Amino acid sequence: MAGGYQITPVYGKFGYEFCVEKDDLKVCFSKDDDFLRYHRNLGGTVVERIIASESGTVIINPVEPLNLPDEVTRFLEIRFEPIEIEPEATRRIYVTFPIEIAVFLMKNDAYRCIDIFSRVPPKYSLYGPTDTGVITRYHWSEVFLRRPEPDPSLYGVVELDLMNSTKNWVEVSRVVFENFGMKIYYDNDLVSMSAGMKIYTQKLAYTAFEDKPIISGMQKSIELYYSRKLAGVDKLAYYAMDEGLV
Amino acid sequence: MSAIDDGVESNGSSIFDLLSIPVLGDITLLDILWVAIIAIAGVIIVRIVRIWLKRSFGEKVAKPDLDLMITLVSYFVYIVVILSILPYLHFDLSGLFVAGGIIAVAVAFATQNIVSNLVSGIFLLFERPIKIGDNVSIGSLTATVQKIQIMSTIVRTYDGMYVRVPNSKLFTSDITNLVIHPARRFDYTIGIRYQDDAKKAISIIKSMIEKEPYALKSPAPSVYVDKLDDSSVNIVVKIWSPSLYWWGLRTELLWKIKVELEKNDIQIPFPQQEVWFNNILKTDMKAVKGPPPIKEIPFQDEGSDTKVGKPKPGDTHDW
Repeated sequence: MAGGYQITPVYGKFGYEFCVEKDDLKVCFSKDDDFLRYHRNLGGTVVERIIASESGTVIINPVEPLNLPDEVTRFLEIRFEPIEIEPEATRRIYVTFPIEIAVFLMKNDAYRCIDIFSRVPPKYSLYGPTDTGVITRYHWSEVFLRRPEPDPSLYGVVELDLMNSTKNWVEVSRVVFENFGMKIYYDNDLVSMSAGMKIYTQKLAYTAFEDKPIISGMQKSIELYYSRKLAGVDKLAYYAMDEGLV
Repeated sequence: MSAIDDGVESNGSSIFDLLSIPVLGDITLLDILWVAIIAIAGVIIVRIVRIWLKRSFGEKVAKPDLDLMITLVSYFVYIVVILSILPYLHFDLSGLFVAGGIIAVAVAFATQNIVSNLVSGIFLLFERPIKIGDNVSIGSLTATVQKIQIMSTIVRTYDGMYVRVPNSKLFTSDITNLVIHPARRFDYTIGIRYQDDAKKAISIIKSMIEKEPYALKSPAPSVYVDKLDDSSVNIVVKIWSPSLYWWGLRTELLWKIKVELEKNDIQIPFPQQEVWFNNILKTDMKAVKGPPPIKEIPFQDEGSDTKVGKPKPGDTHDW
């Protein structure tokens, strides 16, 4: 994933006339009289939009990878090779997650998402039994002990702290996150999330995201799914993985 | 002490005597007091029941149905209150009971279906085997639930028909909820020729499934040779999919598999049968032409212009 490509800035804030090209992806905004034309070509699939706007900002940033091909689920499941964690230990690993890219139009404080696309083919899975489980967006990742550098238009990096709070050895080979609370940060070289997984038993763990970049200076993505925080309660949304960790 | 007791007793007896004075025919003040207490208790009970019904069913039942339910329950409580009050008003209920009994039997016969639907509706609200938007099979009917009312349930069939199912029928029918679980499984049976490589066919089918986002990774799909049939080796394909997306996947994937198998020279054969005659046919064999060759179906690309359809009148096979 790391080599063999040339990084071109895809993400960022743009005016109303620009083109971004990277491999088989081309995103263009062009003026046409009083209107604006949006054109996106990804691997031969073309999407066009006509926009009635005189001035504003275009923002292209990675979003929660739960929108394509449809909003089927609000859970992201990352499977990886099994890791044995000793009792009462905390270890940091890095795993990748698939990127979905959204194009937003912004005027004053109002923004609108006009397109979402991805260069990673989607796949779904089921976490738990077929009657009470949940459908998840599936992604297989290698386990990295140091921060990897994947193509930021394909994969992001989750900095994951595994906390075994039990007095036994625990095996972990998957992590399931809920969309609410996914905090994605990006720059031209990296897309990242910071998350934790606290293990209570071999069958139960809680997962949550931390609202911080893994490298300072990264820009925060506009969230498609956000949870309303209660006044005075500064608690991040978490998900209880109660159907096992392997 | 005894003087005080006597005083209290005399006061008590005097109040009782006072309350026992008939004020309207045989009706005493005590009777009126009881009537007032029962009436007030009845009103309080009705209010409590209304609040309880609104809290319990406010989110589960449509407002018109909830209003109907509240009205019916209120009337029932009022009838009980009135029947409780009547003896204190020295009203002879025996005649009323006889007449009421006859009317009740008549009303019961007339409204048994209505009551049955009502009671079934209430039980369905508690049991909740279906909810609005679910795809369900009720007996032979397969449809989407549009509305759950106190007397009936409205569904829309897949061809857009409006169907009202009485709740009593719904309650006693076998209900299959097609989407209550997050995932469901469907299967295909794909026959290939005996000379084809089944292992290769399975590998191709698995790779096709892998490309489909809605074919779940877990539970994993199952692809195996199931039967050595008369004309084909049958491969069974079992795939789990999200309940709301399985039909689209099922209808699209089968053709993709067929096309991909044919691209790889794996054919889906026609049923074939070899017939051997045990006796010698008394006929001039020179005049009999040989059997037509078994034709292989050429590969048809998805985008091909080949027209498939019924033969027109007069069309014949080209052999």
